[in-house]
Amino acid sequence: MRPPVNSSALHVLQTLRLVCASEEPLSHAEVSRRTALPSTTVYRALSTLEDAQYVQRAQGSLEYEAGIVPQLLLWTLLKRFPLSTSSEPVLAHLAEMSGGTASICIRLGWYGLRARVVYGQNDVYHRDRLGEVALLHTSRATRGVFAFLTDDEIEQYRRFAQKHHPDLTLGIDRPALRREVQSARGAGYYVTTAGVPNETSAFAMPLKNESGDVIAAIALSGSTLEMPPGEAPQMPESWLAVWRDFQSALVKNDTQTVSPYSHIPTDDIILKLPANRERGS
Amino acid sequence: MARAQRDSDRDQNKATTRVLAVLSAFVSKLDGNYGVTELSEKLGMTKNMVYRAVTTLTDQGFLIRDASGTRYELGLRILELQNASTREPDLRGLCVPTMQEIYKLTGETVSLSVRRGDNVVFIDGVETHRPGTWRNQIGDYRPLHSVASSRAVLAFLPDAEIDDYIARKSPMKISTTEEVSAGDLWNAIRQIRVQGFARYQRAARPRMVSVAFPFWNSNGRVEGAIAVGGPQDRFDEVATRLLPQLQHVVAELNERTRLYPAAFSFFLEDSSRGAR
Repeated sequence: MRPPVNSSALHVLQTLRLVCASEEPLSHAEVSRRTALPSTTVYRALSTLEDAQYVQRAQGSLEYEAGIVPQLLLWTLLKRFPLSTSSEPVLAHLAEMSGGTASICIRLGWYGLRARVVYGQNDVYHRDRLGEVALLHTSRATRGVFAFLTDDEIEQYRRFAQKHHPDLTLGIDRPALRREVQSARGAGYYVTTAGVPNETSAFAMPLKNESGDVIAAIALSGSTLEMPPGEAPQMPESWLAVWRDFQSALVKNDTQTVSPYSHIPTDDIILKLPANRERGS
Repeated sequence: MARAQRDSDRDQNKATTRVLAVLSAFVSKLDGNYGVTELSEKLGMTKNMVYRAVTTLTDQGFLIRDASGTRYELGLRILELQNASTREPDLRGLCVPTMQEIYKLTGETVSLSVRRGDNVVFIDGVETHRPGTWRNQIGDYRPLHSVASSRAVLAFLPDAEIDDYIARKSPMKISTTEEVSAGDLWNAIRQIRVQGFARYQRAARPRMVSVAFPFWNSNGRVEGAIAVGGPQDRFDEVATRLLPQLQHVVAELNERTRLYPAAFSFFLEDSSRGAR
């Protein structure tokens, strides 16, 4: 018989989720207020989490923020994807050539997971964060995957999004996105300047496995190109060559393209998105 | 509070600690999965305890059953514990608990250094209150051939890089009066590679000794070293007695630093090369 779930541990894990998701460090009283748990329960939960390095005091204050262990668990999870390691020299090369930030978003069900980032010298914001998850059509990086799905796959994707992230589904049929997808299919890679702050551009180049399925995208963002207003930006040939070489190497070595979570059916991967993504921003 | 209630609370708390310990066991588990028996042996818990912890963690999505259906791996709910608005952890933050643990064990000064080009730079430390402390200024740097921390890094660079370094830096001064020859440095490097750590003893008075252990990043490159040292008359005995414990602590640190993505190292190595 399956043993009962430990209720005390559930309070601790609830507290952990809250502290990790918060944009600011939280006091003991604030955790108690937001979880509606008694003060003594929260006190014990935070002490247990702090002892195990799951949370820590923020800058020596009495408020709590995420500790190192959640980060180590994330790094472990990401490192299990062979692409997160094998793409690193390619990302470093692209970041060095462009001055922008290069990252790889690996397809995980109908989401993209940013599994490796190399910050460019011109990037001072570091917005592209390791471990970031997005529905395929909602971020500039994951559109490098979305644009190259088949029409049947996009239909399946739409059904999934409608069921699990209804607030985000309207965006799938936006005329601007349709135009970007058409243009990406023509060029072989996705490019946009819309919605990218500080007059920067963003590119996302699809990566395919031996069977031709899109499994990831290499994204470049930041002040990567000086672009005349009104003209469609294009990637320099030298950057494209780096991507094409990596793509050729991948097709020859299919162990690099396997996801450790390939045993989970696509529609069964349902992730909670950060609040700003759920709002569609 | 009634005694029965206190006992119940204590039991609940222990069970919760076990749940977190089981989840933490998956840190650095790059081949993916654990069975209940394996976890019970690793953590020194009964299989029943592990099974209960695993049930709670799978219920919450932090663990899932792997493809075989009999073992457990990290679940995708781990991704919910990330937050783009918080500061990304740096290497120093990763090493602080280890520095404090080494200080608690030895009572001597501990330092943390990272490689930048042909030097190591001291970026943090814990200083002892005992007399005769070995002081390192934060931001101080030492050539790779010179002290325990820097040699612990140098020894684990590829041979060709070491030869290149020796050719460029010879004669290799250690102090105003001391030099090390290429032959002696290579002998020291071989010994460090066998031992896994570097020991250095100052030739000049006061006689100070330190031992330094290297750590690696996710690229498989040696990133820096953590060192502990003090006056020879009291430190030699401490270092000999505590060596297995120190090695264990540093091995645990390496499990963490080998996950460190080192998102900047490419540029820093490149720019420091220009600053030789």
